[in-house]
Amino acid sequence: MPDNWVTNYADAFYAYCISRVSDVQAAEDIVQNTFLSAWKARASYNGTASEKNWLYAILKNKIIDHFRKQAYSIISVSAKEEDMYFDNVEHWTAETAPKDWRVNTEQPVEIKEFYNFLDKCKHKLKEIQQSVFVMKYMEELDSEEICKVLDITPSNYWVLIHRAKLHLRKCLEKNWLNIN
Amino acid sequence: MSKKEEGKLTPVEKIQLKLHLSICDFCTRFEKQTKFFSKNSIHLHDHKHAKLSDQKKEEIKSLLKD
Repeated sequence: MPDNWVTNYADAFYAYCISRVSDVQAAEDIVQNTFLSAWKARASYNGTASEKNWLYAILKNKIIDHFRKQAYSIISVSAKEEDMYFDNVEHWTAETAPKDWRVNTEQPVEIKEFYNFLDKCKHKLKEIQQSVFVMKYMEELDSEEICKVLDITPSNYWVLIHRAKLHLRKCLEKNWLNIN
Repeated sequence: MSKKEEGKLTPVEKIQLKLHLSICDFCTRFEKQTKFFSKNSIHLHDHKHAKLSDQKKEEIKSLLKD
């Protein structure tokens, strides 16, 4: 029931949203707009999906819209950035090559520290890399959809997702695992 | 590797990647490590104890009226 929406879902929606957009103001706006859109469309809710799932679908759309609006001016992909990871014959450099983590990467993690640092490291990514990472791994969109949302070419996409992973991996290694 | 995750490699690229990974230990390690955090990142919000402020909640409630 709309009367209970805010009580039942506002905190969960906010946590979901702030994990993805990393900006308090934007996350609050998205949550508010989600409820407003749902309120306006409440007559069209036909009960085929649960109320919760229906509201989440609206929330997820608002998050993708946010990335779409954010992307319009920021696309320029240069090759420069990878210099620190690879030498001029494209081999890993000694300092940045992946170290042995000594954790079992086959197992799912429940460790609070891991998520804490994942969040912080994700925050350090460039906006556009963060958008790509979130849409790919947290919203599970495929590459064609992401290219459409951000209006980028597939080759831009592969570069961005690769760089996001390079930076995140390195940041987790340094901060979460304290490997230097 | 990202292309492989999405099943977007051509048969030739598949073989090239396999060959490269067989001689590149760092790349194999990179693949495992990135897969690990990529796969787990979907649960980030379950571990984030962020709450919407009471003020904002009241504001939204007041907007959801005819």
